Amino acid sequence: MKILVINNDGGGFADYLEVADGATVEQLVGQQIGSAKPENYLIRVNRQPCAPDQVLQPGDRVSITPTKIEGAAESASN
Amino acid sequence: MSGENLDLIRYAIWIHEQLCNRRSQVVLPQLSIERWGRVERLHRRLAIAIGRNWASSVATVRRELHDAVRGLRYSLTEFDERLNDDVDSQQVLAPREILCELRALRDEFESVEFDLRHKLIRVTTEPIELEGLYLGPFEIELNLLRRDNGGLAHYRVIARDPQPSRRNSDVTHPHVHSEQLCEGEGQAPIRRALLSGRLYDFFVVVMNILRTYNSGSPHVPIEKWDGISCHGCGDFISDDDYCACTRCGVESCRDCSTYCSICEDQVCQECAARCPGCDEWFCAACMTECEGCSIEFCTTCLNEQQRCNDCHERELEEIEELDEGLAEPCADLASAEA
Repeated sequence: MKILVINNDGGGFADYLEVADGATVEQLVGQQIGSAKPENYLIRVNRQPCAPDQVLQPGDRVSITPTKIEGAAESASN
Repeated sequence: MSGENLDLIRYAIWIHEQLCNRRSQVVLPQLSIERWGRVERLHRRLAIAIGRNWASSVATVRRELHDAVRGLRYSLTEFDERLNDDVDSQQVLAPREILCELRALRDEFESVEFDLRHKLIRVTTEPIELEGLYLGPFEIELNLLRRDNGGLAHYRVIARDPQPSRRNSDVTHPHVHSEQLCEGEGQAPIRRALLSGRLYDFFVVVMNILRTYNSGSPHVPIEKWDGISCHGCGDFISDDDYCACTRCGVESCRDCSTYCSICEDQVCQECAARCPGCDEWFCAACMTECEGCSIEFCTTCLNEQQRCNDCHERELEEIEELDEGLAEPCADLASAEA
């Protein structure tokens, strides 16, 4: 099944991914963040909080955002 | 359908249109020439410091140069990304999805305000505290009518219970200066979120930047938030009044530091010395001993033979006396021969 994954750790790209039927949020996030700790990320499915064992549905929107994002002293474009 | 819901739907449609219009416009990214200039100036200063064996100055300037190079690299990376901004790869959300984004903000944040007339979205964070430093809540105000120099919607980060640094009152958060957030690692996800209309992601990323302290690159470090005291007089020093001695590195206010016109550096009182010849202050390293009296003078007050004025005059007197002394025996000898 196809879902939308937004990984804000790095480039912030939104991509459609094919995942196996019955895949859980925890399994998907593990694939995305590798060895990093899930507790260091804000995980939302369809912009709502979710349980790690929540089973993904076709068309789900999963966003993965680090809870710690380092700003800088250099001026941004804004 | 309630009036508020209808307004929100219209807002979502309008945002969608704005985003689609933005995709059709080519924006020339800005190239930061100033950053290269700063690197060049610091490189020259470092060369001077190394040539004169000023160890403390070398360490200070090397750190400043490192920061300047990092800033230059950052701006070049940003410029390159803007140049290759592949807008088409990031689909603009449909109005229905943008509506979901707007509604989700209310679930995620305690305070969300939609100013439909001015096309503003305001989200207020919880009170932010970083390493024990209370900074208060911040309002993230996204202006969908105004664009930044990269063509993205402009936003401000406004302190709602300001606790600015005593060193610089424009800094209300280690990564916020004059209501502008320095995005750092968040720059790319923020830009892509704004390009496609993922407003929920935008606000979440900005919020998480505010919740994070990057000790490697703050406008004002947390440990210096309440200001630093002058090494000389003990008063707190603001950024405008701040001087770091290029010899020993201590921090002083301008009144307690000296500008050396020989090496063009700023030094503290302990690293400065007054020339007894001209009564001006210089850094001690730029003073030279007089060959006659061994007292230190500035280079201007020593002649080519490295003698001060007094020693030079004394020397002239001695030469005159010597001449007179030699002249008398010669005159006696001449008269005797006659």
